[in-house]
Amino acid sequence: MTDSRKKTPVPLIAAAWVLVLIPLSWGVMQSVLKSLPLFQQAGPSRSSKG
Amino acid sequence: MSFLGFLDRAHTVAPAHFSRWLIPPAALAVHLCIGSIYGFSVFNEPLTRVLGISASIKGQDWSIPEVGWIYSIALIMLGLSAAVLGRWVERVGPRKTIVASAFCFCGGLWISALGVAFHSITLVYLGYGVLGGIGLGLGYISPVSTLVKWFPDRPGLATGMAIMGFGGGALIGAPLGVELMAHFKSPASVGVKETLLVLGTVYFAFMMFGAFTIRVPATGWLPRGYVAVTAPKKLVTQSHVSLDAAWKTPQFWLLWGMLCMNVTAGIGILGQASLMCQDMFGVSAAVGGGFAGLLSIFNMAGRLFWSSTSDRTGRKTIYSVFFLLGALLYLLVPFAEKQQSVPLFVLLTALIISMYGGGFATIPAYLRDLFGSMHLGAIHGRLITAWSMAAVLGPQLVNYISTYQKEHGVPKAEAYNATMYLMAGLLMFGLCCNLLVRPVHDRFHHSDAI
Repeated sequence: MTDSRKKTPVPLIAAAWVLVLIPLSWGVMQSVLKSLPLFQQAGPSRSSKG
Repeated sequence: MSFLGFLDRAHTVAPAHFSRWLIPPAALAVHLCIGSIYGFSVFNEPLTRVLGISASIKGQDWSIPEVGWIYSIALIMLGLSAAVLGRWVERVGPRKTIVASAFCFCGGLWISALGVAFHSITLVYLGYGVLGGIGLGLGYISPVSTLVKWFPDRPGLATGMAIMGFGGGALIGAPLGVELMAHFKSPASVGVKETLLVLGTVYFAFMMFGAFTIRVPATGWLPRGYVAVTAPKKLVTQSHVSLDAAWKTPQFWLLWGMLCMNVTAGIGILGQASLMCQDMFGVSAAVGGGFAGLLSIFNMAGRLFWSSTSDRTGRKTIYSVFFLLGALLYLLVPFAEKQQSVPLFVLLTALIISMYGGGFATIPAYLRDLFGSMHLGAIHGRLITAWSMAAVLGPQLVNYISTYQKEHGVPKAEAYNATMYLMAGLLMFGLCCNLLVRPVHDRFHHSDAI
């Protein structure tokens, strides 16, 4: 048996993906924001040690 | 129980028009919830102030080592439940398993909230640790084996999509936990019990979405245009190996050793990331925390990237890359410290952690290649005991060796060098295991259709 011609509605698939990607994106953004000081500190740390 | 019949495998067989692209979000929903275990450490410190609220009361409040056991028990139970209940998971199907997982995991959070309210650490151990850990094990293996059945053409991509969620769980669970605790904090409460109740409810809703969206493919279903065997690959079987037979093959134990080595090496870094960054480069605790968060992103992304890449390169090749490149990167970490180069250190550790995640995500696809997909959930469940072992071994090795070095006068910044060399050695052992993997002998196969 293979996929038939009738498909699951695309908006339903999109909605399911959006439902999981929204919290995931929020989490990624939180981590990126939290990690920014690492790179802000990276410059002075490197230059001070020569 | 017949009234729960609607949860049975037979009732979850997909109709002909069903799109397989609904399965990854269902699997992700489950893994994003249970993956929040990786972010449990945000509760550690507040749990030591449940009675004192503003400060811990010595002798009355819980200590950090006492609280630390919650996470350890949960991880041990994850491995045990996956190993023991894997066969049941394959029999009853993904929907019943995910519902059971949701009741265990979220029930564990609710019981833990009760434990915090009554200030009973035993109740918290039983709740989050034992019951929650069983939920973790059930929720981890079931969506993975289901996805592999839906994506016979891209098993690496399939396992990567599901297991990426487990890596991403901490990215959501940790900041959400912090936000909720801040919201519920009052002069009478640290906000932990309220947070656990809310998280349990939100996770339950998400997991129910996963449970009632997931389907198993009908017998004989294949993706449009997919031809099962075009050019047979040496390690990829079209037959199936039962759990009892798989357990007795050298391939199972070689993969067990590989997973154990890869996880031991990665978890040692991941668990100590913040402290290591502070000791090596003298950065603040806040910056160290940011570094740990950054690694979590690579941990998640590596799961999808490496696992889907393995569909093209083959699992053996990708694991050889993990072990060889990983060992080289570990050897370069002391060099980055010597150069005091934070960007180089971040690059090296981010790559290492991406391969740590990649190892988790690729192993079910490797199992599928060697043992077929029919008993994948059960076999994967047994293999996860390697993770439990590594979860104890990795942090202990890093802690013990770095502490020993510091106590013997090695400067703080260089105290991790010996550990890096040891991790590189462990990865070389993993490489040997990988190179020894051969196709499973025909005598272990049975050819029942899926």
